[in-house]
Formats: sequence, C-alpha cells, structure tokens
Amino acid sequence: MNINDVIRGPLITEKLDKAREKFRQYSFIVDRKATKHDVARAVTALFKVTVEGVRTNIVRGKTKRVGRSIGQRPNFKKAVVTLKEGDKIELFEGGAV
Amino acid sequence: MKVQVEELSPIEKKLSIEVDTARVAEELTRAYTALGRQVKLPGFRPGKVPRRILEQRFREQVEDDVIQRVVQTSYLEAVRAHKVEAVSSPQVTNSGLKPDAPFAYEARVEVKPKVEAKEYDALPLAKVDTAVSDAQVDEQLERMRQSQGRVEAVTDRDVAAAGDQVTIDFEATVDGNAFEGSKAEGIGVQVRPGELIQGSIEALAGVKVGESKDIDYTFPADYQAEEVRGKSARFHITVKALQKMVLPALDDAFAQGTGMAQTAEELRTKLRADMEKARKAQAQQDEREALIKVLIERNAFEVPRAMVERAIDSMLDGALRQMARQGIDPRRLNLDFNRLRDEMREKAVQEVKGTLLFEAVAQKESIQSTDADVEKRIEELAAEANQPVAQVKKYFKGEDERLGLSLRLREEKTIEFLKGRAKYS
Repeated sequence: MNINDVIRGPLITEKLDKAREKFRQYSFIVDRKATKHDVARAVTALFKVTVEGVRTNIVRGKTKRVGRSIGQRPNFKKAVVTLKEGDKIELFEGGAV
Repeated sequence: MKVQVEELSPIEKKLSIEVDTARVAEELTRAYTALGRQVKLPGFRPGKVPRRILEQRFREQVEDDVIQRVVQTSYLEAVRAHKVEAVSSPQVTNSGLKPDAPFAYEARVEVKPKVEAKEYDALPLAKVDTAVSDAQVDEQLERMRQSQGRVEAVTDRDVAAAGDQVTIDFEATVDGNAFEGSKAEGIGVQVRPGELIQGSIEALAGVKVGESKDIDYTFPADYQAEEVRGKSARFHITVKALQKMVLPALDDAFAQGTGMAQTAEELRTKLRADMEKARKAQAQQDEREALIKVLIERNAFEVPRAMVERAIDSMLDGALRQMARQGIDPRRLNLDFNRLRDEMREKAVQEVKGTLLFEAVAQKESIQSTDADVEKRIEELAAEANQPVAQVKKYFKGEDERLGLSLRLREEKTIEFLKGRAKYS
C-alpha cells in the first residue's frame, strides 16, 4: 500500500493525550485496509521517527438518531503507534487540527 | 513590583515597571483556566483541555490579554504608590512576556506640572466700572418698547415725516436705462437715515402722499447685482401711503405686559438690577481673564496636551449644550469640529494655565473652601434657580460634584485674594 494513502489523520482525545504523555503512543485514523506494517512504514517515513510497536482496532461508528430517522456513523480503523523513547511528533502538540 | 519614575520634562514622566515572575505566572494560570472553560476542542470535554495544548494554540492571544491586565493593574498601583498625577492615559511599550521571568515595561504619561506661583502681589489690573447709568436703563426700556410697537396708518396728515413707514412705488434708471429689479410697487420703506438698498430713505420726509421725488443713489461696490455695482442710479419714487410705528406708553400696563413687574417704576428698578448683575458677572469674568493673563506672563510653564484637550472638550460640550438649550440642533449646523477645536486651543491653554496658577496660589496662601462655604453656595444656587434647597443638595451629594463646587469656590476665593492685593490702574 502506498504510504501516502495509509494515514487519514491524527486522533486526539483526552484519553489518547494521556497515553501519548505516558507511553509515547501516538494515534491515527488509518485506512481500513492498512496493515500494522503499513502504518509503521508510513509513520517512519512521514515523521522521521522510529516505531516500536503498532496496535490497531476497528472503531465502530455510533448509531445516532435524529427524531425518527436512524443513522450510523462510519466505522474507522484506529492505529496506536508506540515510538522509541525520545522521539515525538510535533503535529500532536497543539491538539486536533 | 519594582517601579522607577523618571522625569522626562515637567509635564511628562516615564515609569519603568517590573512585575514579579510569580504575579505573571498567577495571571497566566488564571487566563488559561478561564480560556479552558470556554474553549471547545474535538476530543476533549469542556474545561479538560490540557494547558500544554492551550499554550500551543492560543499563546499569543492569552499573552496579549495577560499583558494588558497586568499593565493595567500594576500601572494604577504604581501611579498611586508614587503619587504621579497623571492627566493622560499612558503610552506603554513592552518587550513581550516571557514565562518564568519578570515582566518589564515602560509607560510614558503626561503629568500635571508642578506650578509654583511667583510675583502674584500687586498685579496690575484695570478697574472695571460696573455702574449702570440711567441713560443705559432708558435705552434698554426704549428697546423693549420698540419690540412691542405696532404699525398704524397715519390719518392726521399726508406728508411723510421722519420716523414714518412709507409704502412706495419706484422706478430706477442707470444712465437712462432700466435694469433688473429697477421697478417695483407697494414697497415698504422707513423714513430715517441709512442706506437706500436696506429700505431707509431719509429724503422722503416732506413728500406728500401721491407725489413723487427723484433721488440719486450710488450702489455700493460690493452690491449683489453685478450689473449696477458702483453705478449711480436715479430713483423715481412715488409715495403711496403713510404708516407710523406706535410705541406703547411706558406705563404700568406695559410693565405688566413684559411679565417682569407690576408698575413702571418697579420695571425700571428690576431692569437696572438685572443689568447691574449682568455687568458684574461680565466684569468678574473679564477680571479673571485679565488676572490669568498677567499671571501667565509672570509664571511661564508648559501644560500637558491631554489637559488642554480635555479643556477643549468641556468648552465644546458647554457650547453644544448652550445650542441645545436655544433649540438649535448642532448636528444640523454641519460644524467642522477639528477647526473649532483649533480655534479653541489658545483659549483652552490659557484656561488650563489659569486654573493651575490659581491652584498654586491657593496652595501657597493656604486658601481653602470650607464645608460651610459649600453649603452657603448651594443655598444661593437653589435660590437663584428657584428650586428647593434639598433638591440642589441632592445634586451636590455626589463626590465629584461636591469636589467640583468646592474647587470652584476656592478659585473664587483665590481670585478675591489676588484682587485684594492687585494694583488697580
């Protein structure tokens, strides 16, 4: 998979912000078809950092209803990337874009 | 907080202020907490956004706010602590905020100059005569009668006399030719000395109704009709009818008509009193101005621009309010305020200097206005405005109003003091 297609964007929440501080874990929304290896390669290439580990899961979209109509938010794949100690990605410092 | 006051000139000071690290940090924390509560970022509950992220995104904005806040409070503290009598808002220059370092800035401000009054003894002053003569009262009465006069047809004679109002037809020629507006009928003119073009023709005296007279008249060089400017014209005037201005007799009925008095005698005394009061007020103002002029000559000093501008403001304000009272809408006059201000500037400078000088004299001679003085003046004002004392008192209950009145009284006392020592010529 082309590394430019892997990462869809950063994912920043209160919980993930803490994980980043404590465990150097940076989270991304990635393409559904991307593998852990794809993510590791992409992050290494794009941010010039060393990746120690990648964990992924599919986040199920919430069911939302507006009055009578029921809708489903899209699912997405989340990748949590652990970096080597000392590495960091600047993009995340200022919160979600 | 460290403050250094430096005198740049008698009317300008520079305050170098350094605010402690702790205080800056405290202000920053407060600002970020407040901001965190308002800001909504995706992924964070309101109020739970970490300060690190806030700093990253809103640093400039927050720091500007904090600088403003810190400057405002610390400036006021410094001014109070060092007794700087600021008369303008400060010009602040700062070199930016750094965390974990004291915040330093400089503020330049105009101050009230320290005025020391010298040589205020035996000031030369022209004696002003405030007496009102009988002739002046008569004149005023005559004017009142004039304004109440009625025009009546003359029936007992048919020859125009001085003081009459005459209805005429006329035909005029310049070098034998008619010109625009050279002919008219049924025009009312006065038989009295004056310019023909303003409706005053003295030469009509002695002309009978129905008869005519030829008059030569040279138009002024700045007459509105260009055609005849400066040219000599011959007016052929026919008298059509005579009227006379009948003035009311100066009796009790007339006095009652004016609404000022019951009898003619009372009207006269009242009028005299009014005129004397006006003259005295005018004289007082003139004397004040004269005093200021001499004092300025003897005590030269600079006044800060802010004070002058403020004086202009209040003068303009007074003038506008005066207009409003007279029923003129200042907005419709299309005033050029910048020009007006420039015109007032000289007067305002004088006014400011005067106030400061009187203050200085008062200080030196320890002239003060007491509470009793203020109370007395309030009662006088109430009597003058025909209002209950309690109401006027209520108005002067406010700290500012009372202080203003007290300062005015002190100035009046000072003027009296100076006048007492002045050398009248």
